[in-house]
Amino acid sequence: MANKQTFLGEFEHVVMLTVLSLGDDAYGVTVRQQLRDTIGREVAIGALYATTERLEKKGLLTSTKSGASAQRGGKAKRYFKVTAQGIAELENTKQRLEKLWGLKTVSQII
Amino acid sequence: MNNNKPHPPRLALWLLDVTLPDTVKDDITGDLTEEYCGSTDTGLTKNKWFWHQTIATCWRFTMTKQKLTSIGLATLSILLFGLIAYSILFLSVADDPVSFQKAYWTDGNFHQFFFDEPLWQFIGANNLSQLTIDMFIHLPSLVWTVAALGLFVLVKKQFALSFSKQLLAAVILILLPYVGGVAYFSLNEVALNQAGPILALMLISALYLLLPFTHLLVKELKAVQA
Repeated sequence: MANKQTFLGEFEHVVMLTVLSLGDDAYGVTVRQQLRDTIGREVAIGALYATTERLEKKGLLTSTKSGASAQRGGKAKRYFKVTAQGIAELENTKQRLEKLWGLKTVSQII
Repeated sequence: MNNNKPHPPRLALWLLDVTLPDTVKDDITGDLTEEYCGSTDTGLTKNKWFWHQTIATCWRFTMTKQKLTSIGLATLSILLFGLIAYSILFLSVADDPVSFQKAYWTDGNFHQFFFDEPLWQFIGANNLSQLTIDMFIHLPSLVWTVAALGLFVLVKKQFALSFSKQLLAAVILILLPYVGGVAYFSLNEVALNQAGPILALMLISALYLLLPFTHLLVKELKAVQA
């Protein structure tokens, strides 16, 4: 039987946690900076926006625009926020991963 | 923007402006500009970084799976169109009797013609000057083309077909006269001088249908992407 349940991809998971950690200041520049500083991951801006677009379509993220400045060439920032559905999905993912990490055979090796 | 401050390369900004979708254009351009202006690197390093980001971003948003499929489909379609057009030209003007002594003309193995030497020598000899429009006018093929396109549009609307099902339907409708012709040759003894109209229907109908179907499928891919 087909499994219709959706799962967060690894990069989606990482992006959502980063957005969550940044609170009200999560937009392209800060998300990339946070990923660089915390896990040493250099992320292409195109990859980031393709992922946030997908997450918004899934209802896991929302975004609002504000904060245009001269330093940004007059362009507004797109601030991201994790939705309640997104938080539930993160919790589910965490529980599933913890189950896997908790397997005896895994914990014997790592 | 302060004119005294260094600004990102204008050409790169223009490239971002023309290639990125409207939904992310301002966000990406703004983020890159902010990072560029906030950087303490030298101008050259900053410009190099900006160009690298621009090219990577433009590539990601232009070379999507749908666009690559569209390009592949269009290329294949144009190549097949050329091959079929040359085959029709060959059948219309080739005067080498040896070429027409091959069994494949009437025994149901017509596909061998596409791999046989005479056709490729003919293509290599560039006989395009002998091409005339009346070689490609064939009423039964025109009737089949109208019927096939009409049926395709009708079925697509009625059953809301997915892209892969539309592709399959298009391939079947393009190949049907060809397969029918091959079956007819396999089941009947056909003299070479009677094979012409059947071969014409097999080839010209495919020629007529290839580009309209490609157009419809590429349009469908664009709609899927949007």
